[in-house]
Amino acid sequence: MRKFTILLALLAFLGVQAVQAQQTITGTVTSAEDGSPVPGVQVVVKGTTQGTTTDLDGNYEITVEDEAETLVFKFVGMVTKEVPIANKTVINVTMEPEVKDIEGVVVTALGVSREKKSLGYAVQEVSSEDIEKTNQTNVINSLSGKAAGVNVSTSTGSFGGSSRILLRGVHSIDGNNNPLFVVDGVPMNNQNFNSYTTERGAGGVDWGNAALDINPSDIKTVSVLKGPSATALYGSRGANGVIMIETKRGEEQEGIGVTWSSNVTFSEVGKLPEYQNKYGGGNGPFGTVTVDGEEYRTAYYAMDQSWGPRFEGQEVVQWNNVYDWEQGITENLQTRPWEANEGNIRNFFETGLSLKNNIAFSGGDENHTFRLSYTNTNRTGVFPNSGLQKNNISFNGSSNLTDDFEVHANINYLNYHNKARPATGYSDYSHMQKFTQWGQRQFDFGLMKNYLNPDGTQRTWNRKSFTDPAPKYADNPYFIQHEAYPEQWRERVYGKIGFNYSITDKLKFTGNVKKDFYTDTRENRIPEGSVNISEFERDIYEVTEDNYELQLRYNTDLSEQISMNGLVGANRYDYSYKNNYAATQGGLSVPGLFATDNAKSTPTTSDAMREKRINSLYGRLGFSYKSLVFLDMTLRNDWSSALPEGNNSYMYPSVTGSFVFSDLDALQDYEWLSFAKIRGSWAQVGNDTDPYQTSLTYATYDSFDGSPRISIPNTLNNPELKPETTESIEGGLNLVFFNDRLGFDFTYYTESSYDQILTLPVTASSGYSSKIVNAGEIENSGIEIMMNVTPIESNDFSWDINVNWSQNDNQVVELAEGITNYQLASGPFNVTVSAAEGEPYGVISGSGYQYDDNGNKIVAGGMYAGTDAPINLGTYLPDWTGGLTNSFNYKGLDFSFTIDVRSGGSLFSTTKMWGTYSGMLEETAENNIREYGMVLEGVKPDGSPNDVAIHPQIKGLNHYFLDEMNIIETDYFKLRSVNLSYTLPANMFNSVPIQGLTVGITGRNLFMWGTDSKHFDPEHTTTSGNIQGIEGGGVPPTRAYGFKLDVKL
Amino acid sequence: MKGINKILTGFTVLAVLLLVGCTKDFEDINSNPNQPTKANNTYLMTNAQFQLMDVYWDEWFNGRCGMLWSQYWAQNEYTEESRYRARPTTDDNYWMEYYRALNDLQEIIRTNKNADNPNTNEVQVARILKAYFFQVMTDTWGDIPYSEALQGNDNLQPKFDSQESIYTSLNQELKDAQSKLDPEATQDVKGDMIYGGKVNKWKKFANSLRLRIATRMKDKAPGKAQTIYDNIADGDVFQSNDDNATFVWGTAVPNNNPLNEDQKTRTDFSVSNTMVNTLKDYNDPRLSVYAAPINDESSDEYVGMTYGLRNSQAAAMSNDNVSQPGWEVYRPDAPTILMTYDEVLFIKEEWNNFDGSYYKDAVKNNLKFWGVPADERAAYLNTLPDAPTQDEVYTQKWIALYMQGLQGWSHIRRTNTPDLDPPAGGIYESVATYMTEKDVPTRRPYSQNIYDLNRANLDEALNRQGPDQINTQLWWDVQ
Repeated sequence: MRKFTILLALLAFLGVQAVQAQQTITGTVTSAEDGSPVPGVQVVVKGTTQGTTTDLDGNYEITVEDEAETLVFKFVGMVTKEVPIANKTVINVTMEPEVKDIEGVVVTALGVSREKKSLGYAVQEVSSEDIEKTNQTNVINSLSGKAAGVNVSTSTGSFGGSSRILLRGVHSIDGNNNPLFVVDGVPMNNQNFNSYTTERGAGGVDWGNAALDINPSDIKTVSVLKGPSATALYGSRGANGVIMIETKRGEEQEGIGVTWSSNVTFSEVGKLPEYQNKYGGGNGPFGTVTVDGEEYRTAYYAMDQSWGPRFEGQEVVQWNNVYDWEQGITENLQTRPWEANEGNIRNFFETGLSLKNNIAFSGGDENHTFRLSYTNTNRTGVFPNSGLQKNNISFNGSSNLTDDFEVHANINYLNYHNKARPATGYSDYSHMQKFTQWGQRQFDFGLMKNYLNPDGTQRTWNRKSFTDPAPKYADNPYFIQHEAYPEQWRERVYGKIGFNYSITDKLKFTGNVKKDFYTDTRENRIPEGSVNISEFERDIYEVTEDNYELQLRYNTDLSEQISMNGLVGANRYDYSYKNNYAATQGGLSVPGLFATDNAKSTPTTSDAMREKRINSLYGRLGFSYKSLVFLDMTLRNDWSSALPEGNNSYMYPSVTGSFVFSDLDALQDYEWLSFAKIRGSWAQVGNDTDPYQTSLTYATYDSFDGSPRISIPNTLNNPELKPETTESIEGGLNLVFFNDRLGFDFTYYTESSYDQILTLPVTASSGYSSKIVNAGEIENSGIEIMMNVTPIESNDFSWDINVNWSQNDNQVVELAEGITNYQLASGPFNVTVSAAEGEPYGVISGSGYQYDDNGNKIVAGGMYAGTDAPINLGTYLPDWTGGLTNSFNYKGLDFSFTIDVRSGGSLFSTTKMWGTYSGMLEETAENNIREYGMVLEGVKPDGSPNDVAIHPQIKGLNHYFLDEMNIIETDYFKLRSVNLSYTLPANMFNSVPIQGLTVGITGRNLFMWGTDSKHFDPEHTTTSGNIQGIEGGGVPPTRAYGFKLDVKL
Repeated sequence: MKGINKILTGFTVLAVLLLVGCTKDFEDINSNPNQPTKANNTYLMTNAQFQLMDVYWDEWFNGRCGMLWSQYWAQNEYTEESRYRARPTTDDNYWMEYYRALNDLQEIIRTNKNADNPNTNEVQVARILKAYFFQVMTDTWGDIPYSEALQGNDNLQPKFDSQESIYTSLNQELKDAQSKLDPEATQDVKGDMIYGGKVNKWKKFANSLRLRIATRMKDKAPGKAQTIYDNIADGDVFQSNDDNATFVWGTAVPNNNPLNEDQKTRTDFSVSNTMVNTLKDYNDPRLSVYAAPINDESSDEYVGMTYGLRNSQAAAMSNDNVSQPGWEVYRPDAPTILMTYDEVLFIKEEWNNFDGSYYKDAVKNNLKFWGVPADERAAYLNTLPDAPTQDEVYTQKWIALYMQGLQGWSHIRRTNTPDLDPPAGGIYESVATYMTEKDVPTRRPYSQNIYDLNRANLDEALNRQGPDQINTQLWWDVQ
C-alpha cells in the first residue's frame, strides 16, 4: 500500500506540475538614448498582477506560467513597451524616453482639432477630473480659480441661482457680456430672465441662467477660448469668448464599459452676520396691557427694529403667548423671559443633502462607438422645504457607414425641478432681509416652526399689535418656505445630427443640424394671511436656437516644408423666444386655489414673441512652415435680421501667427528648454442686437374699464443702427522646461469695443426717456499668466502646482456726445450703478464722506457729513484675480485643493445700511453705546476734534444718508475645494468584473479669509447680467462636504 | 478631379442657396408681432388721462408731498417727507412720468396736424389737458421746459421757460383751444374718461382753469391777471357741480384709485391735527367724510395726528389712536379731482374783494360735492358769517381743496392762510442748513436726470430763478 500511495503522490505531483508548467525569463532593460541600464522598471505579465522590477543593473528575473503571452515593461517618463514571450527565456528590452506631447491637440472653434502649438491665441483647458473634484452641480462654478482671466461670480448659497462668468472684462455696455457655451459643437442658450427688480437687488427670485443645465458628469474637457482671435469663427455670438465643452464618448473596446458614480454631499450655511445679542425688538420701553385685572409687559410686535429693552430675563408677553391665548391654546395669558437667543439665525437653516448618481454605458468597435449616460440629482437646500431634482439623459454615437462616410448624433434631455428656493434682495419674502436688515433679536425659530394657528391663520412674530394678529411687515419664515414659495420646471432637449464625408484624403465635407430648445415654467404663490395680498403668477418661456451648418475642410502639403489647411463654411442661426405671463390681481377668490383664473379682479396677462435670424459665411486659411512658423487668417460675414435692412451685413477678419522657436535647430541642444512659442494675433468681431429696435411701435396696456390704452413708447428706436465692433490685439509667450516639469503661459491683450448699441437716456422733457444709438467705446487691456510646476515626480509620488493670475484694466472711454454718465441701474435705496466716462464699468455712485484739508472726516452734529452730490464709490470689477491648485498623487491616493483669490472691487451693502439702522448688527450695541452713546472719529466743521456723543440709532440714521458708510471691499481668499480620493490598484480586481474603483471625499467653499466684510460673503450676485455691485438680502454662503464612489465595470 | 469639382460646385450652390440667400425673410422676422405700428388717438387719449391722473394723485406725488406740505395729512411712520424731505427718487420719477404721459397728448396733436381730416375737438381737448398739467409741473418745480418740450429727437436739449412766460402761454393756449371747440363737429372726441367727449364741458373747464391761473398770478402781475379775469364771460365757466372736472376710477385692480391700492398694504397717512382741529373748531360736517373715527372706526371720536413728528415719536404712537383718512377718499373709485365748481366761486369771492357775495355759495357747493346731506349743509351755513374776513374765506377754501394736495399747497404758498405750525419734530436735517422752522417748502428740487442730460439749459434757469433748493420762491409766490 505504501508504494501505491507514493506512486499516486508522485503522479499527482507530476500531474500538478504538468498543469502548472512554468518557465523563468530573464533579461536586461536599457535606455534607447544612451544604452545605460534602467533600474526600477516594472515588468508585469500582461493581464495579471504578477510582476517584478529591474535591479540596479537593469536586470530582472521573472517566473511565468506557460499560458503567459506578453510581458509589459513600464517606467515613468518612458514609453511603455509590450513584448510577446513566444517561448523565449531571455528578453532584453530597450525603452524609449517619452517625448511628452507638450502641447497636444485641442479642439478649437467650430470643432476643428488643431495642434495647440500651431495656435496664435490663448486656449485654456480644464479636464474632467478637475471638474469632478470641485463637485459642483453648476459647471460654471467649477471653472472658478482654474484659468487665468476667467472671472466667475456666484452666490454660493443660492439654490439654482445665477453664475456670472466674464472673460477678459466687460466689452458691452448694454448688451450681453457672457461668453458663448458650446457643447459638442452645439451653441447653447444661456439666457437669464431675472427681472430688473431682482438684478438691482430690489427683491425677487434668482431663477438662474440656462447654462446650469449642462451636466458636469458627462464632461470630458472644457476649453476656454478667450479673445476675439479664438472666436472669430463663431461670429458675433462669440464676441465675449467661448466656453467649449466636449463630452465623453465611446471608444473602441471589448464589451460594453459601464461606469457608475455616486455622490453624497452635505451642505450647511457658512458665514452669517454678526448680530448684537443685548437688546430685543421695539423702540423704547415695554408696553403694558391689563388682562383679567393683571398687568403684563408687552413687546412692540409690529416694530421690525431692535432698539428695544435690554435682555434681562424680564417676563414679557411675547408674540407666541398672544396667539396661544387668542386661540385658546393656553387658558391664561402667559409670558416668556426676555432673553437673548444667540446663534438663533443659524438654527433656522437645515443641513442640505445632495445625492447624485450617474450610470454610463459606452462601447464601440472600429466602426461604431456610442455612449449612453443617465444622471439623477436630488438635492435639498439649507432653507427648509427647498429642493431640486434633475434628470439628465445623454446619448452620443457615431458610425462609419463606409470608409469615407461617418454619421453621428448627440441627443441630450434634461428635466429640472426646483421648489422653494429663497427670494433675494429687498423683498418681503427674502429671509436675510427679514433676519438682518430688519427684525428683532430675540427670535426663537423653534417656536416659529409651527406657523399656523388652529384656525388656519398665520402665526408671525410681527403682529400689528396686541389686538391685531395680522402681519405688519414680515411673515413667519417657515410660512414663507412652506406656503409662499417660488417653483420652477425646465425641460430641455439639445443636440446635433450630422455627417462627415471624406471626399479625398485631403478634402472633407461636413454638415450638422443643431438644436437647443427648452420650456421654462416659473410660478410664484402668496396665500391668504401673508403680509401681501394673495396672489398666483405663472411665467412660461419657450426658447429655441437652431443652427444649420455646412463646412468644407482641406489639408494639403504645398511643398516639403509648407503645408496649408483651410475651411469654408456657411451657417444659418434661428432664434425664437416666446413668453406667456399671467397673474391674479386683487387677491385669490378661493383661498388656497393657485390658478390664475382664480382672481378677484381680472388677471393680468402679458405675452411676447421674438425672432431673429443670422446667416453667415466664413472661412479660414492657415499655413505652416516646417511646423515652426504658423500663420492663420479668418474671415466671417454675418447678415442679421435685427439690424436695419440695407445695413445688416458686417464682416470681421482675424490674423494670428505663432513661432515655435524651440524647434529651431540652433536650440536643439538646450534640453532643458522643451518648448517655446511666441504668438500674436489681431481680430475684429461684430455684435448685433436684440430684435425690433429699428422701427417705431406703440406700447399697449391693460384697458381701463373696457377702454383700450396705448402709448408712445418711452424709447426712440433707431432706423440707422449699426453693429457693435470689438477690435483686439493679443500677444503671448509659452515656455515649457524640463519636459513639462515647469511651464509658463503669458498673454497680454488690448481690446477696444466701439459703436456700442446703447439705450441712452435723453432728457425727459423731450417726451421720451431714452433713445437707441451707436455710441461709446470701452477698452479692456490686461495680462494673464499661467504657471505649472511639478516639484516632485517619481514612479509613485508626484506633486503638481498650478497657478494662474490675471489682471484686467477696463475703462469706459467715451459714451455719447454730451453724456458722461450712463445709468445701468438704481439700487432700491440711494445708490446707482453706471457706466461713467473715464472710469471702469459699473461705477457705484452715492454720497460720500466730507473731508477737511488734512484728510479728516467732518462730523456735524455728531454725525458724519455727506457730500451733496453723488461721488464715485468704486466698482464691483476686481483689480486682479488668481487661483492656486496643488495636487499630490501617491500611487492611487490623490489629494488636491484649490484656492481662489480676488483683489479689489467694491459692493454697496444694503444689509449693512439697514442692519445698522435697525439695531440688528453687533456694532449697534457693543461697549454699552446704547447707554452712554458713541463719539464718531472726525473733526467738527470748525476743525476741532469731534466730541459729540450720539446714540447708535442716530449712527444708524447716518448710514441711511451717507452711502459711503455702507461700501464693502470685495477682496477675499477662498479655499474653494479640497479633494481626497483613492483609486484602488487595478490588480485587486482580477476575480471580479470591476475594472476600476475610486472613493473620495470633497469639500467645497470651506473657508474664507482676508476679507473686509464682517457680515456676509462679498462674492455676491443676483444675476448673470450686467448689473453688479449692489448687495442686499442675498442668501448666505454655504459649505459642502461630499463623499463619492466611482466604479468602472 | 472632375468629381471633386462637381462636389465643390454643388456644395457652394447648396450653401449659398439654402443658408444665405434668403435675407428677404428678414423684414418679416424683424417686425414686432407684439405691438402695433399705427397709433390710435382714442386709445392714446385714454392712456394719457389714466397715466396723468395716476401720477397726479398717487401716494408719492400727492400723498407724500402736496397732502403733507399743506398739512391735510400727517405721516404715521418714516416721517421724513412731512418734515420737508423731498426724496430724490420722487423727483426723478415724476419729472419723467409727466413728460412721457404728455407726449401721448402731443402725439394726438401731431397726428392730427398731418391728417387729411383732422379731429379738431380732439386736438383742443389734448391742448387743454396739456395746459392743466404743465401748470401742475411749473407749480411744483418752477421754470421748466415748455415751449421746446415734447419734440423728441428734434430737440433733445429744450430750454427752460420762465414761469412767467409759461403762465402767459398757458392762458393763451386755453383761450385759443376753448374758442376752437366746435359742438357741431362731425367727429367725436373718443376715449375721454373725464367728460365723455362733451365739448361744452371742456369749454367751461378751460375757462375755469384760466380763472385759477389768473388768480394765482394776481399778486405778481395784477394787470395781466385782471385782463384775463375780465375777459372770461360768466356763462363760460363751471355752473354747477355737474360741470366738475374729475376722473372717476374703476372699482377693480388695476383700474382703482392709486391711494386705495396703497392703503391696502400700508398705513402711511393719517389726517393731520391741523385739519381735524380746524374742522372741529368749525363743527364742520365734513369731518366724518375727510377722516375716519379712531380705534378702527369703532368709536365716534376723531383725533388728528400731530403733524411732522420725528420718526421714532411717530412710530411709538399706535395708528388706532388717530384718524385715518375717510373711506370717501380711500375707496377704489374715489375720483382724481382736477377742478370743482366751488373753487370757481371761491375765486370770484376773492376777485370781489371778499364781500361775501359768493362765499356761502362756495362753501355750500363744496359740501354738496362731498355728499353732506342738505339739512347738515343748511345748519352749517347758518354758522358762517355773511361777511367773512379774508382769512375766513381763505381757510374755507383750504378746507374745500382737501385731497387736491398740490392745489392746497399752492394755496398755502400764495396766501399763507391758514398759518401753519412748523413740523412738531423739527425740520429735516439736511434742509435745516438753509431753511428755518418758519418756512414752508416753496418748490421741489429738480430731477437728477436734468443735471445729467440738459445741464446748460438748467444752469440758465437756476441763474434766473435761484438755487435748486426747496425754499427758493417761485415767480407767482410773492410773500
